[in-house]
Amino acid sequence: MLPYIILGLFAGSIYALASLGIVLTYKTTGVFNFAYGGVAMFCAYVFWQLRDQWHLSQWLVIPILLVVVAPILGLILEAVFRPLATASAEVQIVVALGMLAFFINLVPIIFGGADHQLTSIFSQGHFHWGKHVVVTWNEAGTFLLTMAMAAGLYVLLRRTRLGTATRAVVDNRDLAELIGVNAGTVGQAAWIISTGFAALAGILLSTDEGLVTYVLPALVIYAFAPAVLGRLTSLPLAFVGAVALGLLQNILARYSTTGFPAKLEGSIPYLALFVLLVIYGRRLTEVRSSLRPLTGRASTGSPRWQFGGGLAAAVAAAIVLPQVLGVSIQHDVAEAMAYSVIALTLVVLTGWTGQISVAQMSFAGVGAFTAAHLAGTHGSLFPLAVVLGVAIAVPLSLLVGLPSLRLTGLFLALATLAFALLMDNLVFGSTSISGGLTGLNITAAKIGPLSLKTYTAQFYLCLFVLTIVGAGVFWLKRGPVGRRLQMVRDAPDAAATLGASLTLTKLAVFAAGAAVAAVGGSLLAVTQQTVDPSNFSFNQSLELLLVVVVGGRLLVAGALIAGGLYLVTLLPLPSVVDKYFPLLIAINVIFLANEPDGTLAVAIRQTRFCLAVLYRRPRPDVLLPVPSVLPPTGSRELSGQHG
Amino acid sequence: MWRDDAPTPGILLELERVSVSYGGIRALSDVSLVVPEGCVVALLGPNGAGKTTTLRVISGLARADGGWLRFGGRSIGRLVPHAISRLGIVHVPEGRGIFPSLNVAENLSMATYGGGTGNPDVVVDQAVALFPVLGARLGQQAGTLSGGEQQMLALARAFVARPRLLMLDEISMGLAPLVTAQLFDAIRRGAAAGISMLLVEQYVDAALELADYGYVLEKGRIVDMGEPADLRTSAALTAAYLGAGR
Amino acid sequence: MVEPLLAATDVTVRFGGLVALDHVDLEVAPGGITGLIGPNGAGKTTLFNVITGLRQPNQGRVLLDGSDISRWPTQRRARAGVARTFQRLELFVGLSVRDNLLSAWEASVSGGVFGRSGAEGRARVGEVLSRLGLVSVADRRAGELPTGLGRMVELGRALCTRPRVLLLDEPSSGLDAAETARFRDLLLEVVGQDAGGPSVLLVEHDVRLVMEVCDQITVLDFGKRIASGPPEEIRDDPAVIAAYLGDQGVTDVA
Repeated sequence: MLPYIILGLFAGSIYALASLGIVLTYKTTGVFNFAYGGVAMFCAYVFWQLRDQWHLSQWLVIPILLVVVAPILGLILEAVFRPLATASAEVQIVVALGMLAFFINLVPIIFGGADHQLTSIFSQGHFHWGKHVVVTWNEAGTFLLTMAMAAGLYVLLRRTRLGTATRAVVDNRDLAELIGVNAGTVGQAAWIISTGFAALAGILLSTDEGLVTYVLPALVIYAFAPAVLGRLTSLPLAFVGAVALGLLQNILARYSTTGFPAKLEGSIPYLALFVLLVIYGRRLTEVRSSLRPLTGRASTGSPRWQFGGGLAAAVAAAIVLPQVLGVSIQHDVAEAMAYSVIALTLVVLTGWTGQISVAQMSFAGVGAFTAAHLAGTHGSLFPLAVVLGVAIAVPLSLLVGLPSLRLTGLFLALATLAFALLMDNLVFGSTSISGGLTGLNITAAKIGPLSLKTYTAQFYLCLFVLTIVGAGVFWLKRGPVGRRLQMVRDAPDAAATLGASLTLTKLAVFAAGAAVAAVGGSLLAVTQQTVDPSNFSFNQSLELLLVVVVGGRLLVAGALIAGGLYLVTLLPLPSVVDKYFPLLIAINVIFLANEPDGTLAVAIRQTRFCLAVLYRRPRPDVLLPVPSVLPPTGSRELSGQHG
Repeated sequence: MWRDDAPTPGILLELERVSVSYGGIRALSDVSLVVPEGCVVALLGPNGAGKTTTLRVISGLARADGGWLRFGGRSIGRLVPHAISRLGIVHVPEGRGIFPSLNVAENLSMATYGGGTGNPDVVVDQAVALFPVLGARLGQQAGTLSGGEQQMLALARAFVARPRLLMLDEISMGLAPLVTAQLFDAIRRGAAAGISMLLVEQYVDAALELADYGYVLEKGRIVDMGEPADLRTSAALTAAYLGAGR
Repeated sequence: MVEPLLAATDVTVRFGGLVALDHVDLEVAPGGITGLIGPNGAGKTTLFNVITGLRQPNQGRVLLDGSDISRWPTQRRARAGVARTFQRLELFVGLSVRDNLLSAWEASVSGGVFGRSGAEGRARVGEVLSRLGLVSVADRRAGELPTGLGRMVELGRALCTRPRVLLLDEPSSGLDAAETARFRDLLLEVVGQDAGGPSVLLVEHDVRLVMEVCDQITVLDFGKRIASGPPEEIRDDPAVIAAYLGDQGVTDVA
């Protein structure tokens, strides 16, 4: 048992570093740094570049990382998030997720996409502890280093002026400012320290697990559960929780080496995250209460014209596109339309009700794998498979939604993140369900007599479903359902005092979203023909959210644009496009997350503005700011001055 | 729109036609007032009249959208709160002006952050001299103090910061009469020592007893002003509070 | 005395160590306007939250027409006829004024979200719009309105639910003198309507307005009820004067 405990302490101490860093910035600035794993990975690659490629001494490299690289990154992050201090929680979360995608996509561009093995920063070899226990220097060194960092943080917070000022800002930001503390400087310090911890965690993790682009951020997500254990505000609880998590995982590892239990071991941190969120429930409140939600400024136009125009466009597409597009492009367009169907669920969920989900592709995956299992060999079962996929996705969504929809904003987003990663690990990671790395084939699906083998048939099917779902969503938005969603989003307390049930509304939207996502997933399965678990992973859900934000999360058209952006990744374009495209999406999200009508609407607005200025025709609707109604809180006043 | 005029001699703080809006709500309209050096000025009026907003706009927590604010002849309308604080304005806000998770000594040492001057140990000694009850609780978390002790701590920290202008917002709110008397006693001694003050108080009598001059706010406007003796019999003051005598 | 339509009995709410409401009793008689006044932080809005179910009290009960609704969720209380407005405007900023009212009506009837009896709802909304003088702004987005109109929209929204008791939280704050006068007339008109008009519980800083329109006034101070009675009694009550002006008061001038 003892060797497992030592391994547990070793792993737990790395998680502890990450948890402390995450809690530190959340406490002082109110920003939950989803990008933490991305930052850790970036720093680990810098370390690899400097030490293993340029052969600098690691005793030079580590100080460079901690004194130069981490502070610069920390200040950049601080500069991105400071203007968002009074933005709604939704915007902060989206930007943080955009940051995560930014780092994940930046690393392959700068350092190449290859994975590497790193040797420990501590000397090789081991020593004996007692008679039978062997401890490697890596394990001992990591543990001691972490303890030293934690102790250093404690001393900093308890014994220094900066520490007292930090705790004062955490307690009462306005009062600290009134006393002469520059809360902005305190925030910068917190980001610098937190990023330093991320750098160390990244190096220690990659010397242990290998430097692998997608694995590292997921491993850092292990540290979210301990952070939540301390309700994101208690550093000691986060530390203890992280060490306990490492111990628990490794003790379990002793009893389980293969099969489901082994998968469970890797999923324990996600499971713990989900369970903790549910247990804490409403007691989790964000340190900064969010202000009023975003409202779009897109022209409201005549809905009848928009509706008619959309249908006409669909008919025109049905007639014209198959004539002009090559067959393989028809196929790509079909796949992009299936993607748009899933994107529509995020428009309703995130845009209209303000709930951020990073698990929509998991529900799509349910539909896809159900289709593959049922219709993979018996193509005629495809319609039944779609129904069955929905029938599985809906109860699953209720299972997730019932306990977690009482959560708000950040905590709901964390719950869906935990769910998505659990699905990745336990369900899609299971060979019997997903067919392993090669995936499952579905090539002969049929609807009645109609074969879906040809690309043109797939095109028509996807166009049909997208038109139905899009028109349905558009129609619902204009009626009582749309009004109900807007009520719940704009002013939940008022909605409740007028007779609307918040829980029922949110649950219904969540379940309906899961159902439609499952349908979209089965369409994706048909168009992709091979259902590969990596297409339905957390990373894909994250990417979906980002393209919907870029497309415009308040608009049905936003989902179509999201599909269009997805199409870009399918088309045979020069590799430079493939390389930079996701990065551009992430950057776009970081800068325009508070534009709920999407980037295109902003571009149109700016163009109209420029034209108006050029031709000296003032456009009042463009030039006049929309007056706000609600009195801002003190903190808005305060940080407005930093901006 | 912000101008730096020559300082008016003897005037520490000057507000000229200051207006503040929160979103659509006009919280202050054309408020003009002065606090002369070494004087105690009381700001009176019913709830929602704009007293707290007036203090917030002076200390930079709220932003004026019209008018001028000058402190010691310097325009402060565009400064951020921590910069204003460093000029010597100490604002004890409504509620408890303390940091609950810091201990008492740390709370007091915060007084040295503004100007960057002062020795934390000296500051603690001074505070204990002011309110001896704090001496026994230096290591205790401020959040665990009683309401009265918390307010004493807030007041002590304000005094030892050596303010040029002390702004107190309803310091007696929710406290027992005996504790209130102690706090007022300290304020009186501070005033006697020549500290300029701007006082927001719910107890009109107590405020007028301390003050050299008073302003009455109603719905964001100044409706009356004068020496305490005159204000005591002011119809506008009574009307503002009780709605009588329209 | 008449059986109260709405009653809160022995309500206590603590925030951490602070007692926001301390064994407070409150009654709203049917068919009149009851005022609830008190200095800042006296616990008025907290009491509203307890009555509407947005906050669970540590102790105490809320009765509507004699039946205990303390354990009902907010939306069920709303459907039973408890409606309110908010001190800090809680408009559905993304919806037009008309849709603000229509959504409120839909929320108040079962099946409303599926469009059931939509014609009846639109008729009700039209009626309320014209009574409150909101017809000219009916198609403006609620988020663009100035505060005065915003307060009217909140009132209209509450009226669309056909409330039995209407809780108004600081309806005159942010209104100028003319708007306040207009609001007062409207309030009297709404309550004075022939049968079916709601009873009103009014929280208001503008004591003048309260004295004018209320039949009964309850005064809170530091979470305790310190007085209750008709306006003329309240005006002369020494405890009330002390709460507002300090111990000695200035009664001789009033």
